[in-house]
Amino acid sequence: MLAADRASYSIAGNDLVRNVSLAVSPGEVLALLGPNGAGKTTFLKLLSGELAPSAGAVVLEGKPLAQWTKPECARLRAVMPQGDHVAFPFTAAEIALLGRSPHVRGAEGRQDWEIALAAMALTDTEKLAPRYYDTLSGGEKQRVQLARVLSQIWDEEPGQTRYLLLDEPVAGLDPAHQHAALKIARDFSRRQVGVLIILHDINLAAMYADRVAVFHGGELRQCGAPDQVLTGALMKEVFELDAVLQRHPTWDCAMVIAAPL
Amino acid sequence: MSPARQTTAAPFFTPSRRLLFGGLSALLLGVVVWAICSGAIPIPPAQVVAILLGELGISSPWEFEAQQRAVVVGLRLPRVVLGVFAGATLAVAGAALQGLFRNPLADPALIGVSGGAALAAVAFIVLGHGLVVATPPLLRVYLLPVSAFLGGLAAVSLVYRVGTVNGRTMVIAMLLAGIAVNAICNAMMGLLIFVSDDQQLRDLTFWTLGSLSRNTWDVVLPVLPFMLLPLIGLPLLARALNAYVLGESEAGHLGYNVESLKKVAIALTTLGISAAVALTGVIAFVGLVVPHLVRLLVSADHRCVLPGSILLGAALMLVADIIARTAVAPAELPVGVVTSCIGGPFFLWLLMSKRVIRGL
Repeated sequence: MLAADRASYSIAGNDLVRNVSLAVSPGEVLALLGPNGAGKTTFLKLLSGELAPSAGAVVLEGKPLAQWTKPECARLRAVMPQGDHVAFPFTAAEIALLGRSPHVRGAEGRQDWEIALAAMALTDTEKLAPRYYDTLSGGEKQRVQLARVLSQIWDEEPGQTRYLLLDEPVAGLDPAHQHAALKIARDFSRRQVGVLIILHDINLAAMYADRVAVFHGGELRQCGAPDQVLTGALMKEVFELDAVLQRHPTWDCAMVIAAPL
Repeated sequence: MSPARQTTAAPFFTPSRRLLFGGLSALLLGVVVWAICSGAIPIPPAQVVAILLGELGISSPWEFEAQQRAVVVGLRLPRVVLGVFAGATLAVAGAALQGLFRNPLADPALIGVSGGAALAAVAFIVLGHGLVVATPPLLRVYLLPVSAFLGGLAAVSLVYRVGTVNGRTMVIAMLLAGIAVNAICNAMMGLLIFVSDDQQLRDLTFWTLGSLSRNTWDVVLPVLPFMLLPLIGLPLLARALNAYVLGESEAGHLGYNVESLKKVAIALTTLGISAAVALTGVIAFVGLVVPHLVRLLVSADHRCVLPGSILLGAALMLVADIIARTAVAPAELPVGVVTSCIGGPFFLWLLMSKRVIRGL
């Protein structure tokens, strides 16, 4: 379990995250929802260890995150960031292969290449493998980055839990690839991976997440199954949207239909 | 389903990479022999090889004269060794800095090392007379290298301090601080040139433009270890630098200790560049252009770029020095003029061909 326990993060007197207790467990997809500036990315950075909480604690498998060494940590949790700039002419395959770094001593072997390419096949970027990363479109880059983090936690070992932290992984993707990426996340979660995803599309969260956590003003407002959490009142209060809630016509999940402002 | 079989991706040492590394090594070896052959007294390659083998205690069928041996061992060899080390060090330091700053335009001048080292050396030439008199004659040859080294170290320390906030080093802040420190150093050098006399001015120009003419064994040998350290150490950072292209936090998420990577890389490059500048002055463009060439020739993978830059940097420095020594013989051009004359237009061409810009 990767858990935050009453974690806060403040900078210059401003609380970006305030007193949040939230855990992601292997086997589930947890979606973080909330308006811009609600503290979702900061919270993800607390869980990834990039930021240290100013109060409270973050615990991975019962041990405070600060007590894990970086390489240990990197072998069982991967983080996909929002940024995507690469300064040198690396190919897409080389970028995906970097995900294998924590598992490699010396040079990568054929097995590492196979994993990287399998991850690329999964994210539909196999054909982009020999292309230079910086010549790809925004959405293609995101899918290559997804392949990279997947190949980082690819190995399935008995008793070994893994975690995937994704910050807006579908923001630049076309609708089909958005669904494909979230399906991958869900499939991985069924193989003992705990997946935490920051999403803006509430309907995608309702379709693919096991639980949703709604952030507002740096605080965790609600957390639970999408059907229970997503209500018209919440949409109004947190997102300031007039929305109707319906059942999805062909799928068993809630659907939010917003009214124009 | 194994997609690996359908694509061209392959393990790290592909045949083409082997070929290129082999080619670069052969190129360096050839250029070394060529550099020893050429000069005021031309010596045929066979004699050069025989003399070098003889020094290693290996006999060979070619005969040579004692005078030829004196020229090769006493004059040309130290100069070639200096050229190889200086070229390799500048190039590998440039490659490492570009990786560290994630900026293809980074070069040894950028973090202030060259500027600081040059300023200290110039200050020593113009104002250091008292220091020379006070120093035992045997140690006088070290005064210029040591002051350059201290100057480079001081400049980097300042840049590093400015760039470090709450224990974290901000690469962009360092880069900007380096530009400021360089500007200050240049201005102060201008002031010093203003107050220097004719002889000092000649020394200064020669030194600020870069030259391999401080090339006796007793000057070169003590400084070599300082260049050897980065030549061995920087290539060991290649995989961390690869992860670093994704960004600082991403490299951290991949398990690398980013803060110690930055410290080690900056310490090693400072050491190497200060040592090189101390012996040769400021030789421009080697640290900037060579890594780009290797990226074009082989790959942007730092496991190719760093060792490749060592081989190519050494070879190109020697070629530049051969031109510097022979173009206006018996006089000698500063080698920095040659590297800039060739490197400048070449870099412009690279930029115009858009192959470098893709990386920006």
